[in-house]
Amino acid sequence: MGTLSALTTGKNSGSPPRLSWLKASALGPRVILSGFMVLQLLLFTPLDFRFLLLGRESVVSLTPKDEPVKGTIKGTVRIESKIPSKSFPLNFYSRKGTTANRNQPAVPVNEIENVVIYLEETVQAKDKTLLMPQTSAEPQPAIRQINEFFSPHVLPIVVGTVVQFPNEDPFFHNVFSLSGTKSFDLGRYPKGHTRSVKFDRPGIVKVFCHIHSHMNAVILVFDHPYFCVPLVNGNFVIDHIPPGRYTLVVWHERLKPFKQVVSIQPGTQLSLELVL
Amino acid sequence: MSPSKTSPVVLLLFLNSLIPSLASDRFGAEMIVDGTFFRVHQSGTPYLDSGSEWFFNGRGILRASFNINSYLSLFYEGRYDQLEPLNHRNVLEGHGYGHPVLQGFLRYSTKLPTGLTLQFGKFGSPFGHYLTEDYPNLNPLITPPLLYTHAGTIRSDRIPLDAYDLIRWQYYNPSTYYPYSRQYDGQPILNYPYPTGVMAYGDWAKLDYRFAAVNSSLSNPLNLGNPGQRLQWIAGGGYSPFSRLRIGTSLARGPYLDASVQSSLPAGTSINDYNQSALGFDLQFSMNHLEIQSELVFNSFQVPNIYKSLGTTGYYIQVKQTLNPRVYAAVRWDQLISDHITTYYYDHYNSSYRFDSNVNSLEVALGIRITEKMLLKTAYQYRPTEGIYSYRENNVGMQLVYSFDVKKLFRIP
Repeated sequence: MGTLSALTTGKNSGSPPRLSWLKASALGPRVILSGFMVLQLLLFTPLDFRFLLLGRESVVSLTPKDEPVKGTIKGTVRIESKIPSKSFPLNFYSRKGTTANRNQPAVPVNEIENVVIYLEETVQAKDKTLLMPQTSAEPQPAIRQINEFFSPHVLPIVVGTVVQFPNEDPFFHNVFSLSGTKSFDLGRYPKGHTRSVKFDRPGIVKVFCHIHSHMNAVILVFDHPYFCVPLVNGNFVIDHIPPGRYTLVVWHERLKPFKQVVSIQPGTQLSLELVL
Repeated sequence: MSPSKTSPVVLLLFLNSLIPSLASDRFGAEMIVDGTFFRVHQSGTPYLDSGSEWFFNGRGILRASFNINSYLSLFYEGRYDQLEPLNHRNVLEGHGYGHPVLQGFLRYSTKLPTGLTLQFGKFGSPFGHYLTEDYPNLNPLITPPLLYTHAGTIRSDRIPLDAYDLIRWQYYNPSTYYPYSRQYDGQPILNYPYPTGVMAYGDWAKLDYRFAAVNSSLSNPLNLGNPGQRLQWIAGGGYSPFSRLRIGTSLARGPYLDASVQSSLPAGTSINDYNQSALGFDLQFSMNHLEIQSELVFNSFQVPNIYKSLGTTGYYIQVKQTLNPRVYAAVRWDQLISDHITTYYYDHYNSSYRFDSNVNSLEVALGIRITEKMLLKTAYQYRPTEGIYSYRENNVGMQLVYSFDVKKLFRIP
């Protein structure tokens, strides 16, 4: 303001007489003030707004400049292909000692729950700031050993997640994996105990039990958070997707994956009906 | 339609209705195949040159089960062994042995709190911990324990004239080189016991129990239709004080002689008068990556023309340690100790001799899981035998085991 005052009032000791024509003009001070205000606007407003002022097309955003408006994919998925059979428990020999609760039914299977929908070739794949690290307050996902089955059978997670493997059967299991993504062998531990594994590389991890050959589970480890498991009725949502073109993949362990290229526009919702 | 024409039609209709069931989630089948290279090096054998011989044996096991409903299930198992028959006798060079029905039984689960389950048909013996050692994908070493494989002096199809004759059997029954048994004419204490009968088993709290009434003995299992079958029993139970430990016990008693020896028996006796009796104890312990398994069996045979029962004590201790997800190490110490009998032998009058050789075995193995379905084992076995003649074996072997789901292989939905 001091500078403005000096310009408009002329109280600027030692100022050259070259500004005398402005002082003489009745419009001079207003011109100078207006020009100065425009200069401030150009220097200190967001780039996009400047473009708008200057007549250029741009995406209007009132959010901080580094965060584009996200999109959403929403829809339903259904399975129409015939699914090959899964491993069958061949319980030839009675387990000497405690056995499973015979009154409990086998774990029901809705194959929709074994579907994972995810995006491939995300542009932010290497941007680790977009990963949602697990906070200590969030419960760690778990694959339970119950009634000689792993539950859930399929578990998608983000890199860095720790998965618990609680044993809820009254006899031993021996959970292991020989997958290149993550190899582990948890040994034998009784009911009520749990062991955990941290998955620090993306990929597919197949989990088995040494003692019960029919037991298996699949863990999909992603380096981004754009995936989901459909609900029982087939509905699914993947949100907070940055704008761009992606390959949407519908994955089931025993079926050929379905792939579709999708384009996400900022702030838009893409609705899809997917058939596997 | 006459009855003779009805039966095939009924069978065809039954099979036709079964085919969709085979394609359903109520049916499962798996195959376990293994190939074993084994070198036996024997030294110190009288009448035979010391030396080595290589063997290759290929085996296949097919297992299937079908859930009729939540209470009833059918089970089947068939096997093929390239080198030797399951009864360890009458081994022929280059002869393959097929066992189309090693197990075939119906299981009824009562759903009672005590877990009572009934089994009818031909099934693996509930004595001891036998069955888990008889599958190459479950046995961490290459050879099964001596209790199941060492063919001793006692035979079910031949009786000795007296104690001297029995001792001579050791001397004149030389071994030849086979990977898992010898061409003795005798039989193991547990000789692939897959009898036919009915079994009831279950568990309650920390206890488990089983009782079977079967048609033949542990050392001489007979198929239905074989002559000389006799009803006999096997009983067992166990206690698990906590999850990691189980201690079990088993009892079995019954005649073991073939009907063919009836005419050679002492007057006034029958094959039903000569029993095999076995008392066994077994232990299973697991903690993290360590597994310990052990069995102890006190076995005796009542042998015609021998003044006392001939007993053998056999035991093994087996330890397996998983070193990493792909590799484990295992070791088993095995021993069979035979009773003495008094007889004269050559110039030694009324001397005491063991009626069978004492056999020891120390086997160490390394197992590598190539995939979750494929297992490669390499093993070394030191096996000294002490008896009328003594010899030692230093054996090495490599076994590749592959188990797979038959439905997935043949794309049965």
